[in-house]
Amino acid sequence: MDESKLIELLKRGDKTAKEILVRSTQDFLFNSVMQICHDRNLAEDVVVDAYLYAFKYIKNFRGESSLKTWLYRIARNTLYKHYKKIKNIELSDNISTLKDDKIESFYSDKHELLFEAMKKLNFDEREIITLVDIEGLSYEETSEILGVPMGTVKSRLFRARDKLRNILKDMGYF
Amino acid sequence: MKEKINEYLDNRVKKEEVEELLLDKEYAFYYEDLKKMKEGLRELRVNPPDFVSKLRIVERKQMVFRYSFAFVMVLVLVFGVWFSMKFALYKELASKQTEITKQFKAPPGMGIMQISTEETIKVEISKSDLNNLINSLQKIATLKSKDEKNGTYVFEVQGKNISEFLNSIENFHSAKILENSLKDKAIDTNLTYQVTLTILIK
Repeated sequence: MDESKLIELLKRGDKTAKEILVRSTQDFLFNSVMQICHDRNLAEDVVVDAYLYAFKYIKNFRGESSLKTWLYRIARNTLYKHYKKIKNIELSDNISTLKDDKIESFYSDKHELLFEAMKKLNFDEREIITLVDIEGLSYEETSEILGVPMGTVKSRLFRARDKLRNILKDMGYF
Repeated sequence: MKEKINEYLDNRVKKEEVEELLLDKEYAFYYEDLKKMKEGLRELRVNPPDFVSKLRIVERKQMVFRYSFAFVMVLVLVFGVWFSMKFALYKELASKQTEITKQFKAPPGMGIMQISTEETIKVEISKSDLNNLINSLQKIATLKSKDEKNGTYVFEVQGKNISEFLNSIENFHSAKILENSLKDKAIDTNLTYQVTLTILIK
C-alpha cells in the first residue's frame, strides 16, 4: 500500500492500516531497539509504547519523513525516557549494564562474542552499527533517521566499526 | 583509505576504485575483518514477537481500564447524589424533629407529656352566663388565649381533667353544646389537650 494512503487510513483510526504498519515495521523496530538496549523485555515494551504513541499522535504526523523514520525516532525517545528513569545509568555509554542474561542465551558462541563486543560500544556507536550493519539501512536513510548529515553518518560509522574491530580482535574473534 | 574501504563494504564505491588499495596486505585484512564482522552482525537479528497481538492485548487492557474508571466515576457520582439527597433529607427530618420536640414538654416529676392535637367545642350560651362559664372552666384548665370579639377561648386541659371540663360545660344551666370534637374520643390521661372553645351568644 502507498505510504500516503496508509497514513490517511491511520489518521482515520483504521484497524487494518494499523496492522499493516505494525507488520511492516515490527522487525526493524524491534531489532533496532533490542540491539541498542540489549534487553528483550525492555525492547518489547519500548516498541509497544512506540506504536501506541504513534497511533495516538498520527494526526500530528506531517509526512516530513517516512513512517519508519518517525517510528524509530519515537522508539528512540521512549528508550531515552526509560533510561532517564533509571538514574544510575548514563545515557551515553553504560547501557550495557542493564540485565542481559536472557538475551545471551539466543546466541551461539561466535554471536555472543559480537554481542559482548557491541556492549562495549557507546550508545551512538552501537546505534549507527545497528542501523547500517544489522538493519542494512543506507547512509541516506540513516542520516534521515538520526537527523545528522551524511558526512557525520560516514565518519561515525567508520569510527564505530574501527572500534568494534579492535575490540573483536582482542577477543579473538578474527 | 579506510573510509573508502568502509564505503566499498557498503556498496557505495565500485570495486575498481579500491582494487589497488586492497592489494595492500593491511587494507586487505582490514576489509576482510569488516566483511566478517558485518556478516556476523547481520546474524544478530532476532525474530520479533507478534506485536499485532501484543498491541491488541494492551489496547484491550487500556479500554477495560478506561471503562472501569468511567464506571467507578459514575458509581461515585451516583453515590454522591444519593448521599447528598439522604443528607438533605436527614437535615430536613432533623429540623422537623426539633420542631416536634419543641411541642413536647416535660411536667415536673413526670416523663415527657405531649400536647394533643387541637380540639374544638362549640357552645351556645346566654351572654350573662358567659363569664361564669369561663371562670368555672379556668378552675379546671388553663386559659391560654382568648378572642372576645370572635368568642374563642383556648384552654390547655390535662387529660385527667377532660371529663370534668366537659361536665362543667354540659351541666352549665344555659349552655348548649353544638359541637364537640372530644365526643366519643378515648381520652389519654397522660396528654395535655388544647381545647378551643367557641362561644355563640343566644
